Amino acid sequence: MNIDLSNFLVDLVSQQGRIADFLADPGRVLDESSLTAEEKSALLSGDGARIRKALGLAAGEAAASVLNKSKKPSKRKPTPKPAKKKKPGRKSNQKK
Amino acid sequence: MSDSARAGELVVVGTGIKLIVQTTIEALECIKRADRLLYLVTEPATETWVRRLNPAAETLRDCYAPGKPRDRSYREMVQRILASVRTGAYVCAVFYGHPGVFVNPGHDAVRRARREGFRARMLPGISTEDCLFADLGVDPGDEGCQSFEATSFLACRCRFDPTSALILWQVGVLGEPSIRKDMQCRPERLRRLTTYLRRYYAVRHPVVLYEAAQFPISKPRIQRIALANLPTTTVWPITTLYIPPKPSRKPDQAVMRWFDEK
Repeated sequence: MNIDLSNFLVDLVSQQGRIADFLADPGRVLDESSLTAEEKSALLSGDGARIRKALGLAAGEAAASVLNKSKKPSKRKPTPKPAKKKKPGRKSNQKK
Repeated sequence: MSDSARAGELVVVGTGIKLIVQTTIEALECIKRADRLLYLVTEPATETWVRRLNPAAETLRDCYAPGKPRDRSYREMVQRILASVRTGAYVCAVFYGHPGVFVNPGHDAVRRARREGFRARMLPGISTEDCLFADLGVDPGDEGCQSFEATSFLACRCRFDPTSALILWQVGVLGEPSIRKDMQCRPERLRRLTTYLRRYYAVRHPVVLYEAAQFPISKPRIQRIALANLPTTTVWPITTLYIPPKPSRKPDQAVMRWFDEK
């Protein structure tokens, strides 16, 4: 977990006017921070996957904690067919 | 609410998809005032924010473990939530997105708490589907909209109407019991899904691979491709597949004439 980047993002969104400052001049806001060049580059890209990676999440890891397990279709036992009525036995015409 | 409800209360809320800005004011108040707060979110920034709002916050993430069946993890989450409610506390359970959309423990915790005589409710949150309608500019009221979990859809051959929109969730984890690092959907499984969809759609029918934006400074992923190209496209676990409707059928004129009746 990248604490610095997490705190930066939370401050960016929760402090009044800060997100507007970022959108107006992202370079200035990032220069004032102590983020690494890689983190700054991820934020400037606007690419969610890169930001997640900079936060320390592997691709798909974000989903791991929320995905529902796919439900396996239940293996239903086939409904037993009604027993066929026995036809009256054919008598063999064959001569014994 | 019944006066005979036991001491202890549960409220289940969602954070929405995008960091902070999609949490409703109602959910925010519950998060702040909870005596005990249990959360399951997808990325560290939301976790940092939740912990700042309520220092009593405890993660439910440790209910997961490599190789542990997901169902068991969910049961443990519900047990932990219920154990907190039984102490008589005002408990808030926080989940990513909408707490009742693709979140088994959210509904289960509310049901069990009610069954045990506690006050329990769920507040709606913003889900990926809500973001999808906004980002793709589609209105489910126009032609109708059907949503399925992708593996169940394929395994059960779910019946659907291709003249309404189709949304397939978790298409990146077709038939996967768990998530691996850097995982993508297996091409042969995407081919199988494409073959099934080809029964209903033309090979050039457009489809959209969609991922909602998680941060206010990031963009959603919207990749439009032809259905035929689906098996050769990278599909991540968080990707959702949106299939626009085929042209609608001719309306029943007898019904349409109702509008002219006085």
